Amino acid sequence: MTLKLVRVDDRLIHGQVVAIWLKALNARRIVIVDDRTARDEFLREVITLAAPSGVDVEVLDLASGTERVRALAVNSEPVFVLMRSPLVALHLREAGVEFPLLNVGGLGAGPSRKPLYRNISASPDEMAAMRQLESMGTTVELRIVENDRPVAFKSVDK
Amino acid sequence: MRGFRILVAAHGDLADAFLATAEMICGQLEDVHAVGLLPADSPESYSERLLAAAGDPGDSLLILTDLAGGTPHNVALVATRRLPKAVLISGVNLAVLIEAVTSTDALDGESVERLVASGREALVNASQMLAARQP
Repeated sequence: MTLKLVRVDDRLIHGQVVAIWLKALNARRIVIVDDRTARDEFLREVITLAAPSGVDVEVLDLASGTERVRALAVNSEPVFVLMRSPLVALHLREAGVEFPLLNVGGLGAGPSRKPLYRNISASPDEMAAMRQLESMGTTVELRIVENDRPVAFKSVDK
Repeated sequence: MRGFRILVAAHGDLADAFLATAEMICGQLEDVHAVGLLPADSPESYSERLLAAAGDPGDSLLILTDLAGGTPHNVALVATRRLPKAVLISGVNLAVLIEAVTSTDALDGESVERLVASGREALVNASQMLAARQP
């Protein structure tokens, strides 16, 4: 089990991820599972450039990303997995990729989105996906940066 | 007379502070704008404010961002797809900002190289330089 962290963050790679998480996890490989970014060469380049030098970034769509993460999960290299939505995490889990913890660190507010904690809001679909992940044995935590105290999704799902 | 608009894109209050501080040194500035990323911003809401501040896509525009890989930078870099005459430099410091606001050049490859150089040259190990000069 070398998926150091599976994180939901709608900004994907950004300051908190680069400055805090990469260092805390000591990961040199980021795998982004995101259809929109994977299918847009320009966005793919921008997000790849956002990572510090020496960190390999792979941007994959849902289908190939699922297989890639499945393969990396049994590899010895520490890997940081990023996605925009808990729906992607649920897809991975339902495809048989196991991870004990899902970190939710950034999900923007919007109409019909329920505010959960600081900058984290979720749509009804995303709420259902996080509940489903919990029922499958993946703990869902809300935590923005590494030294924040994690907040259990269960404790804010009321 | 400067031939391009300047936009500083940075986390929190830093963009506004850069602008205010550059004005403290250079006097009132024309056509220099600050767009700060607020904790409540989404990439989408920030992008809207950034594009509004960028003005006419046909105008020459220099975007200075605080941190390569940060959200202001990433969003601004994506926005340049819709701003064909924009040039983005990351790692803004006061030296490069002052160089840019006082520039009378057009924004071309050569002047942009000079701007990047001015920002880089501002970052030095001053203690070591001083020690090297001691007899």
